[in-house]
Amino acid sequence: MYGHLLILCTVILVSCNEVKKDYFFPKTNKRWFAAHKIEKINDNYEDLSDIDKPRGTIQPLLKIHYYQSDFKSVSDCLFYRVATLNDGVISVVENPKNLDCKELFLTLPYAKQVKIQNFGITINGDVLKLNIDKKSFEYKLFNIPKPRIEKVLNSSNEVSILFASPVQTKVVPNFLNNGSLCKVVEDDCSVTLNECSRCRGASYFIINSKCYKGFSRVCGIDHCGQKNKPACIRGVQTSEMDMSFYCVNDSPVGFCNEGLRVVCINGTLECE
Amino acid sequence: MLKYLVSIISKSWGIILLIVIALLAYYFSQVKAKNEVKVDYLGELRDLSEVLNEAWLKGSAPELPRENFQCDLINLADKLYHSDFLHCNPTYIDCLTSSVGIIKIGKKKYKKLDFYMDEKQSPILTYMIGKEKFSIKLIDTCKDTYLPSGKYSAGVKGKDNLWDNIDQIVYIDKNYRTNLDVSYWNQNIEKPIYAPSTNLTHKEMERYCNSIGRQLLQARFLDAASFFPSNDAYFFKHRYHFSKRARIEIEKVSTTDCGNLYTKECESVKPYLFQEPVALSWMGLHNVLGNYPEVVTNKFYPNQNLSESSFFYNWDSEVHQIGLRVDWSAKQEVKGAFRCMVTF
Repeated sequence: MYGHLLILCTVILVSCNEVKKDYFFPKTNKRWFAAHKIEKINDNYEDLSDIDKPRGTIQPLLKIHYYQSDFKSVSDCLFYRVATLNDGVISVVENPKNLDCKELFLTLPYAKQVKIQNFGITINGDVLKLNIDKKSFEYKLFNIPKPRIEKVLNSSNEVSILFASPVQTKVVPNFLNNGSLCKVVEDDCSVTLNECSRCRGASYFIINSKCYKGFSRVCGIDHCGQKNKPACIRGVQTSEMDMSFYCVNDSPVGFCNEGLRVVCINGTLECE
Repeated sequence: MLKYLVSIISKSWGIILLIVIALLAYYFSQVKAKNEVKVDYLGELRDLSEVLNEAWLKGSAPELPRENFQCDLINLADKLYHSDFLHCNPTYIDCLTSSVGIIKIGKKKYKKLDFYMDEKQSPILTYMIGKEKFSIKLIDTCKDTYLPSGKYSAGVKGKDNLWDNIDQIVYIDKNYRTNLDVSYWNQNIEKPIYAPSTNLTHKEMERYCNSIGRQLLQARFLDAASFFPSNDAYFFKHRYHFSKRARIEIEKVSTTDCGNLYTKECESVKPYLFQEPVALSWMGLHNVLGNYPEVVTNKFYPNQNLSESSFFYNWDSEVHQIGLRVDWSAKQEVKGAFRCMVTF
């Protein structure tokens, strides 16, 4: 009698455990199909196709940005406890405040995969694959932007439709104020900030670096050329400016309204 | 024997019951898991979005016909506007989807639950798929067009005010912003809704464009989009966008002429259609000259911000010239249309 009961309990427990495992894909896919950006967040891995080191440690791997039901952008963080034998664990944590994933190490995950021996990730265009031992979870990411085609008669918007996940979390508004830099192009042309979608409205270019092929951007209405406002951009090629020396008064790479002159103040070309 | 059997059955009864309960629990949990694993809603979502997208871009779809179209603001029988007005039009798609009610795709039916617009005037439609609410955002791919990167010259004459947009990606509205567009921003519905918005001040135009993530069109960009492109060595500036002739003498204006430049005479030649793609430039801008007076921001000469070329002037008027502008503040009686632009 007790033997039977024991077997029964084992069957129930095992079956429950199986069900829990199966929830991982539907739970994550319900959010990630609306992903518009997949960010690799661990510089220690050049390639994520086979993650086997350092064993026993928890590694943040991906930040998945997606639209929740009100089209606010939120994100999930994917962590992996690297397997020593078959004890690897994938955990996915909700990140509505869009924090650095490292701050969410101890947060309770909403989806988990356990008893993993081998794990790898591949991202190919708009398809994300999690390869877990012998199975593979494939996510089709509908909102990943296509590369812009710079061609006459093309629109500024490459897609005419975006999808939202039915999931809704409380999101703290995260706008940049007018006048804030939203794109920063450094002297070596590296882009260290690129978040102009966080401006409440529009953004515009300013000249504040030696880069010869790109400009930083500021949120707000473009008042370039006016007194005490940034200089408008004439262009590097047209001005034939050696950008190493862009920061000089009357710099030809910028221009101002009639009657004003270009000056360089704190590295930015302005009008005076 | 019978007694023995009954005793065995009664002893086992509890165990059998437990097994049955366990099996049922297992069965139902598996069924639930199976349903969760099924992700058919994505296929349905795609089907629904394709139908909505077709109607958004083309004005209708087989599953979203216009037959029972009802709308407080848009009258389909109105012959004063061009069909372009209905493309990428949030009010129209709201009315169309409400008029149709339930969208039928194959055997599936989808009920519209909600409609609203985001801060940049993109409509968001919510539908029930399975047991979940899914929202679809429709993005405007109809209104603007690409200005190729290159060297350009601003103003009426030769090599004045050279500049370039190399390493800048620029898109300009093909046509004027309408009363309907602006009403989403200031909640003030001016009629006719398909007419260009001409009641805003310069500052309001700037603020409106900013609200949708754009800037008021700048004069030098309009010039670049209007003059035939030239090589780097010499900027030859033709007066018109449709001809290289310096002056075109016309005794009687024809329909074709009005398609190139809608002037005062055209009102008796060709019925005026709001939002009609006429007076096209080399890169797809409409109404480069003629039609409505147009207000811009001029970064070289701030006071030259109004192009007077419009249907208020005859064909032979001097005002019909690309790049020619006057001070709008000195012509307060003139109501100007405007467009927005965006750079990346």
